Amino acid sequence: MRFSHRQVVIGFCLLLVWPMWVWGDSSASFRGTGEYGGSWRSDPMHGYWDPLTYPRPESSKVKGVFQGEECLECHATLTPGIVQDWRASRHAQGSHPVFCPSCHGQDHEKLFFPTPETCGRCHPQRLEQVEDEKRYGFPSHALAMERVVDSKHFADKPKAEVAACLQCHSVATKCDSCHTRHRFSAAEARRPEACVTCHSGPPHPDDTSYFASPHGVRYLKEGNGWDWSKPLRRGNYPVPTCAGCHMKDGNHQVADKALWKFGIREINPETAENRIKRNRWVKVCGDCHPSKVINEFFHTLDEERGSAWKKLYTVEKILKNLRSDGLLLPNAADRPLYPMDWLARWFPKERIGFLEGQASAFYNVGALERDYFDLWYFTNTGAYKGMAHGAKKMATRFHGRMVEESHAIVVEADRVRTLGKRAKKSDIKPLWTEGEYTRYNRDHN
Amino acid sequence: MLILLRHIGTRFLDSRFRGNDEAENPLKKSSVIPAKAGIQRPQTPNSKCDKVELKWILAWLGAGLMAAGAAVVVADDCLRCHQERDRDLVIEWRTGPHNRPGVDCRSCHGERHDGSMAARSRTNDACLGCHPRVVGSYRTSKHGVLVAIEGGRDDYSRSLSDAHYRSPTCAYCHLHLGKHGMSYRVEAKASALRPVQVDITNRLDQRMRPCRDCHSPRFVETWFATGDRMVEIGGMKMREAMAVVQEISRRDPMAALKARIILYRSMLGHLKNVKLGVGHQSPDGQWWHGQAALDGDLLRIKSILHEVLVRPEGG
Repeated sequence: MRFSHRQVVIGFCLLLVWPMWVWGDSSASFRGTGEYGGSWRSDPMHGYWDPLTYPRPESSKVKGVFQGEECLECHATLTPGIVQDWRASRHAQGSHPVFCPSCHGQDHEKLFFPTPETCGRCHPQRLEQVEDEKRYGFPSHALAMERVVDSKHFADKPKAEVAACLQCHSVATKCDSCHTRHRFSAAEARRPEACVTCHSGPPHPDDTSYFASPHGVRYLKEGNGWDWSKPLRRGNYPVPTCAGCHMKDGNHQVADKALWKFGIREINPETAENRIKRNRWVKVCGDCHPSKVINEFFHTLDEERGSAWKKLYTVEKILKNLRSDGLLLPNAADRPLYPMDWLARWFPKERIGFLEGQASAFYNVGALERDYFDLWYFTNTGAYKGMAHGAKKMATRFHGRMVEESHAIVVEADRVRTLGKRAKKSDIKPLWTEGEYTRYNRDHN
Repeated sequence: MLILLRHIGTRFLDSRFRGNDEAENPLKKSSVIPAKAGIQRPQTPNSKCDKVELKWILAWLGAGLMAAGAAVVVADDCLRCHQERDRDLVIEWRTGPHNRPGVDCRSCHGERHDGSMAARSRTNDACLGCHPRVVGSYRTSKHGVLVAIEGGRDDYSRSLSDAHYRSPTCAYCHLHLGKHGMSYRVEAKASALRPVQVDITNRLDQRMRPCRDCHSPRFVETWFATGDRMVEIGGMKMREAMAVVQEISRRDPMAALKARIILYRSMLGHLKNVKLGVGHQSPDGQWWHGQAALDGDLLRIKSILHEVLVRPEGG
């Protein structure tokens, strides 16, 4: 059988196109963004979390240009929930309601999702406050999306696996993380519950620490009866909620007081910059507490952080010593690599501690390093959050756990050291670089 | 009338005194439902009632009868009437997963036939007594948070359809349209340990229906498609760990014991968290209690095999 030139060219083109067809849903998967953007492609859900970067063209068969009430006519039946919510919102009140097209466009074939900029057209002050966070670096709401896509583990892992990361980090790219659609209620966002969908779980137990604090206990007892339509000003609420302190006076800039960096890195509270930040805190607490009590509180917090870092550094040193002696199991050379980490191919190195990027290295490592990660990222942050939110018992409990976990690591490190010295030669690379998930992880970024 | 009163009275006394053996009787235990604002707390058996004096029993009986013309029911009583009146509903329940020892109508609806039985069973409190594990993932999800903020202000007498609630409750999705067969189970497409079953296709379509009352079909489809892949990736980790455990048990049965404990005690729970996290839209469940935790256990199991492989002879 003979092929013409044209057939060969077409066949060759098809061969080129075929992998794209098979591997990527071309309508919904795009090249990644950020520092490692070249190494990964987005998941279709990404378009909902970051609609500006990953717009998904409307696929609805409905054609036409619609105004105000016309949208509601259909959607009251199709999606009654959102219409009811909108009707109950401030957007629906008054003589000039803000109808659907204001945020989604009029042409049903070219509908779009609103971004903070869309909301900022009517709420410029709030947008300005959020944008202002970018001056302060991490942690902040405004830089949350950048934070996630620039993480090596996010870039490396299959995007469906890390889809949940975007769900919270999309606080930078949408306003409905706190003001849920389509009611967009300020009163709702003032409640502590509005924060806990993201501010919960092992690395940032803000929910459990706040609810265990004297502030939170009183909120749980009485909060349902308070008038949440009041702004977050001095004297409007009996005790502060999350937003009461972190977004005082409704200020949407939450990064200017971020002093302790979530407890995951050591900071010196006495630097000029940190003193300014701390003074902002003193002012917030000063609404209710005398300055002596506030200073004592911060002194206790500094002591707690000092004690936590002492524990962490002791363990970190043990791991680093093992690394120096080449006794960490497995060695970096036997581990799967991040796709973008070309340097590590020639100079493999185990990452230990915040500054070396261990925050991304909680998989593709040995059990000992992971145990340290859990101690540092979960138990230590639990102790910090407990103390910072005034739940002292929780802080004490987590410090107790830190001692136990540190001890376990020390014992295990001793064992690994003894074993390592007598270890027999064995090809263990396949164990760490092969396997159903490990292979899938390597091939799907 | 007298006969009727005596009948009710006997039932009532009977049920109150039977409260003594609550511990042995799971059926009784599961009928204890905490009250929610605006909804009358069902009369539940008091475990100390053997000390209650007769006058108190009579007073309760009188008050109960006067208050709502209510009668305390037992399971057979429900079915006696509702088998005819709500035939489909009873069939759904019979063929569904809730038809099991210790669970009957009263478990969710309570025992007082006072007109608030349906409303009472639609609150989340009606489910939490038996499904506490689920609470974590739902509680912190946006849906759970909104229900908490509403604080029971929703009108629970409205049907479980057409977005009658500010945010979906347990029953809104799992018993959507009031279907009692729990047919709206948010079943993940793929499971770690068993392959995709063809006969759940219908259920996969059904699981999206409650969501569509508020969300666009495309969003719901995309959510579940990504969620299914996420659960499948969790399954891959499980299977990789299983293969490693098999290798360990071939070489060192004692070390395999430790690995098996991690696999079945810990990893299975994390995989369940991923599923619940997807179903309940909980980022924590999907990630910190799910995938990130699975990663940790997988590499702990691999570390066990690593040690077995490099351990010196006789060491």
